[in-house]
Amino acid sequence: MPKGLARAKELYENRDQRAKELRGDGKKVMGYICCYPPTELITAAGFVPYRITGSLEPITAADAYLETLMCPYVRSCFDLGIKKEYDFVDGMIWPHTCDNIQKTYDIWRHYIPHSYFHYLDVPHMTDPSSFEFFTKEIDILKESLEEFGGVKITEERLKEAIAAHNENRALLRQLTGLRKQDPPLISGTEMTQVMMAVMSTPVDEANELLRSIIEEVSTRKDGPQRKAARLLVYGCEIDDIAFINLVEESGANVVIDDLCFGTRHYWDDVATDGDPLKNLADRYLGKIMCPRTFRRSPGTRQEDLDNRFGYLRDFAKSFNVNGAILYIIRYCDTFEFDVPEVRDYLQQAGIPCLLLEDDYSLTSIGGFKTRIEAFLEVIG
Amino acid sequence: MYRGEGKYKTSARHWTESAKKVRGLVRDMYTRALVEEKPAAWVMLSMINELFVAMDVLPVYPENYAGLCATKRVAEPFMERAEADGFSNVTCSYARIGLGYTGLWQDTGEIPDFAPDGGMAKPVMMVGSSMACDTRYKWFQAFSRYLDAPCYSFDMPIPPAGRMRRPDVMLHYLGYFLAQLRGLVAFMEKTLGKKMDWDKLDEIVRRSQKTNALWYDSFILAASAEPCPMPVEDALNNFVPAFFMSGSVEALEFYQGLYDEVKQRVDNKVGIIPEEKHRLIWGGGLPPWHTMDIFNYVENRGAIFVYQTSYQPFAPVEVPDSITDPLMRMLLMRSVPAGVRIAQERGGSRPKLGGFSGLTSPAFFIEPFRAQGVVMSMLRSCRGTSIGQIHQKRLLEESSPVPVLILESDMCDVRDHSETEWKMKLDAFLETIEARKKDS
Repeated sequence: MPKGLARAKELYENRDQRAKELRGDGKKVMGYICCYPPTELITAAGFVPYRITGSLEPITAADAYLETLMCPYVRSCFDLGIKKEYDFVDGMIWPHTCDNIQKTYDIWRHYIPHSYFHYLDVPHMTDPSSFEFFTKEIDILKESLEEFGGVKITEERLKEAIAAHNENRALLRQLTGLRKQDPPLISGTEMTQVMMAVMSTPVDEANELLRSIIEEVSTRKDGPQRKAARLLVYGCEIDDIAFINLVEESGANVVIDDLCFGTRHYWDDVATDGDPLKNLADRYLGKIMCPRTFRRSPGTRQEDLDNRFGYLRDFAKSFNVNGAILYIIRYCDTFEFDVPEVRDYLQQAGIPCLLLEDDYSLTSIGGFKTRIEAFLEVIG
Repeated sequence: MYRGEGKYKTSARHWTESAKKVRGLVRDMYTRALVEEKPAAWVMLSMINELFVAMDVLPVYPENYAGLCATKRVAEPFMERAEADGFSNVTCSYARIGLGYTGLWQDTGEIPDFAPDGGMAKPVMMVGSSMACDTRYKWFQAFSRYLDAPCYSFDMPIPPAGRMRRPDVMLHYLGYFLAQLRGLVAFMEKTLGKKMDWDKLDEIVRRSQKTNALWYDSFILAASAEPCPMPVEDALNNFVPAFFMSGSVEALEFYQGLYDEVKQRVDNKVGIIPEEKHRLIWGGGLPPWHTMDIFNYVENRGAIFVYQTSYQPFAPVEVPDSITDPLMRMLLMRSVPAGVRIAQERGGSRPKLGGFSGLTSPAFFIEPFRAQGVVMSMLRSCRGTSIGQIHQKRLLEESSPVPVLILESDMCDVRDHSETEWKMKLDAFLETIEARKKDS
C-alpha cells in the first residue's frame, strides 16, 4: 500500500474505498454533511465518519427532486445519493447550517434511504442561550447515536475521541505550517487531496497518514516550484482539486485557504477541560468561522469587521500572502452577503482580491483561467 | 420602465373594500416614521411587532418596502446599486432593494427622490432574525455597510417534523425562543434607554390574539365559501396589517372590518367572477409583486385563486391565563398553522407533508376549499420559499388528482420574469384542469 502523499492521492481518487472496506469488516459508516456535526461523537460511538461530498460530474438525476436555483453543491451531493453512490452509508447526520442544507434534509430522507437519519439544529446566534441550546442538541445526537449503535458513549470514550480529533487537527495545522515556506512544501492541490483523504477514513488511520505525509513533505526535494504570487483562497465547498489546480497552473502558489474542506475544518480544537458536550458546542458553534453564524458586533463597525474577518488578515500576514481569490458558489446566500465585505476588508489591508462566482461544476473554467491570469499579472 | 410609476399599472384590481384600505395603512406606516418624533426601527418580519408597539417605536419593514418598490416598478435602480457593490444578482431581491436604497442614500446623503412614500426613515436600531431564512439576519448585518445603527438579530429555528413530540425537546426549543426574545427586549431597552412596560405588552399581545383570530376567521371563511368573496390578490393585501402592524388598534379594527365584510359578502353570495369554473390555490413561493394583475388575468378565464399559503394566518389558540409571560403568549398564540387546525377539525389524517414547508403545505386545503389546481412560484432569489417545491409537487401528485403548476420568476426582480411565459403556462394549465374534469 502506498504511503504519504501517494496514499492521500489514492484515497482522494477512490474516496469510498476505505469506508467500504471497513463496512465489509462489520463497521458502520456514518455520513455527515458540512463542518458542523461533531465527528468526535461519531468516533466515540464506534462508527466511521464519512464526509458527504459532491462531484464535478454533471447533475443528471437531482433535477427531478431539487430546484435549480439552490446551492449546486448540495444538488450535486443529492445527485450522487439518488444514484445510489452513498448506499454504503448506514446513517446520516444532517445539520441545520444554511437554508440549502436545512431544506434538503426531509427531501434526502424521503428519497434516499439510510438506516439512520438525525437532524442537528445548529443555532445561528452565539449568545449564551445559543450555546446552551446547541449543547442540548449535541446531547440529543449523542443519545440518538447510542441508540442506533447499541453502545454507551461514556465520558471517557468521548474524551478519547476528542483527543484523537484534536490530534488530527493539530497534525493538519502542522502540515499547513509547511506552506509558510517559499516555495511552500506542499501545494494547494496536494492539500485538497489530503483533506479529502482525511475526511473519508477513521481518525486514527487519518492521523497515521498525516504523520507519514508530514515526514515526507518536510524533507521533500520535489515540492512545488516558487510562483509569482502567494494566494489565499476564500470560499465554501471546494472538494475537488480542479479549481485549486487551475489557480496553481496559472502561476500562483495557493498557500492558505479559508474553505469548508480546508482550514475551516481544522483550525480550532475542542477544549479538554470540563464538560465535553459543552466543549464540543463551544468549538463547533463558536470557533468555526462560517458566515452562516451571526456574530454580535463588539462595538464600532471596524470592530465588527475585525471580529468577523480579522482571522483572514492574520492568515494573509502569517502566510505572506499577496493576493486572494474569493471563490463563491452561486446561491450560497450567507457567503454572497459577506463577500463584498470580505473583498473590501482584505483590499483595505493591502491584499488585492479577485471575486469569482461559480456554479460549483467549473464548467466555465476557461473564463476563470483568463481572469485568474489577468489578476496574477496585476498583482505580480 | 422604472423611476416612477408607469402609465399602465400592473398591480391587481382589488375587490374588497378592506383590500383597498391597505395601501393607505402602508403609506401611513412610512410617513409616520418620517415625520413623527418617535424613534423608528428597521425590522425583519419575525412576528414580533407587539414589542415595538409596546416600546412606542415606529417599525419599518424593508421587506414590505421592497415589495412596494416592486409593485411600483421602481425596484431596478436599487437592485443595480447593490449589484454594483458586489451583491450577487441571485441574493434575495428584497435585500438587494434595501441595500441599494441605503447605498444610494449614502451616495448623495439624501433619500432617492423616486423612493415610494417618501422613503424609509433613518432607524435608531435594526432587528433581524433567523426565522424562515438566512437572508433575514445576513441582510441586516450587511446594512452596516451603509447605515450606522445598532443591529440585533435573534434566533428562531424551525424544528423538523415530529421533533416537538418529545416534551423535553419541545421545552428545549421553547426555552431557547424565550431566551432569544428576552435578549431582544434587553437590546431594545438599552438602545432606547427605557424599560419595557410588561403590563402594556401583555395588553398589546392579547389584542394581537384577537386580531389573529379575526384574521384567521375571515381568511378561512372566504376560502371556504362559494362563490369566493375574497380572492388571493386581495388576501395578499389583507395579510399586511397582521404581519406588519400586529398589536396595534388599527390592525384589530382592520380585521374586525374585514371579517364583517367577508361575512356580508358570503351571506349575500357576492363573488368575484360570474362562474367559478376552476378554483385554485396559490400553493408556495411568494407572489410576483411587480405583476400582480396576473391574478386578474386568470379570473378573466373563469378561474379564481381562493387561498394562498405564502402569508397564512395562524389558527387561534386558547392560551391559559396561567401563562403570565407575554413573550410566551406571543409564541404560543402563533404555534398552530392554519392547515393543521383544519385537518384536526375535519377529523381526517394529516396529508403527507413535504419538508420544512410541510406545515404550510397546500395539501391541507385542496379538499376543504374544493380546489382543482395548485400553482407554485419558484423564485430565483428566494431559497427560503423555493426549495422543496418540486418535492411538494411530487407528494401532491402522488396523493391527489389535482394538477400542480410551478412557475418561475422572482418576487421583486422583474428582470427574472416573463409575462408571456406565465400567461402561456397558465392558459395550458387551465386547459389541463378542464380536460381532467371531462375525463373524470
